[in-house]
Amino acid sequence: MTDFLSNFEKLSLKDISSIDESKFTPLNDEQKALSSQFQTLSSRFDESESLVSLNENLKSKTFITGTSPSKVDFLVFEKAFPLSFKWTSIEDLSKYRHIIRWIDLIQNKYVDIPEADKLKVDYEAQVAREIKE
Amino acid sequence: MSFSLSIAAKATFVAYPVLIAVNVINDVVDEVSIPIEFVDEKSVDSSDADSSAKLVTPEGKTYSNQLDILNYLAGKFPTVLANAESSQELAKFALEHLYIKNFKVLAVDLEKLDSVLNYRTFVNGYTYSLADYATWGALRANALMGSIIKNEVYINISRWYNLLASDKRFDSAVDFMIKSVNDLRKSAKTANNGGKKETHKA
Repeated sequence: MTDFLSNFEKLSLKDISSIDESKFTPLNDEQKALSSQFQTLSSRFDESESLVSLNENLKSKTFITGTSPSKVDFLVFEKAFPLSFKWTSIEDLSKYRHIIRWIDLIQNKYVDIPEADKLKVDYEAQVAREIKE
Repeated sequence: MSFSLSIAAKATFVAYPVLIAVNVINDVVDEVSIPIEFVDEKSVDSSDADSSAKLVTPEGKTYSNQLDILNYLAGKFPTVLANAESSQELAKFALEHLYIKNFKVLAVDLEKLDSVLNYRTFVNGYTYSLADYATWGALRANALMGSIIKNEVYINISRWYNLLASDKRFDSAVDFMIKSVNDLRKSAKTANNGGKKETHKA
């Protein structure tokens, strides 16, 4: 699990759709369900509730299916990444904070994106603390 | 000279940051195996009541402050303890503020840590940094934290804490200490009985 975190070779953005699933830790049933759920949702990111639901999932999970990356992280990243550049208001920075955190991890650690094309993340953005409901 | 690490098992705040870092080093770095000795006392040094850990290095130096030990280890093993330089402030913050058991005081600092983790997966950078060890170890040693993490009182802290906890080498370092100390206590008991009592071995 951790070896995977440290030894992952960065992917190029254009290769994302053809990543070999066998490179990842196998998913259990619950993770498979999450994976297909978010892959489906990612085709509907024009509806804000889809993004809200992704954000909610990434609140307690480092990656979409848990503590390891899986193929769905890359497929969803491809769709969410271009949208994230629009999130500049403090309201959006707060609303999508967990997606931004996850995008920042993927763009720096797993996908090869030139510095200039990365999402600029303001780590000190003054967003209110979230309290579990 | 070779390495030796001593950990005081009865310290008010057990030196988990150092213990875990050494456990990961022993796992990752093939040519190094740092022996870990546990002392069933509050301190590893009879002349200093607050000394929770002591590292003797192959160069013959002795470090007894956790941050000094972590910094030495980061210098030797930068792939295990990353981003040492930019970790200093956060590591100091963790070692000085997160071991505290007064919840009213601790709550203010946990809120700060939670905001550090708003847009960060790790405390500092994109992998285990020196600050991640300092912070995780301090929270693991803090008896107040178990239920706080479990109940997701600080959402970002729980997510980050559970990520590192999913790395078996973090908690196995703690389990190893508990087991070693139990063994120590058993053999101390046997010694007190003049060695007559057989220890039960499964």
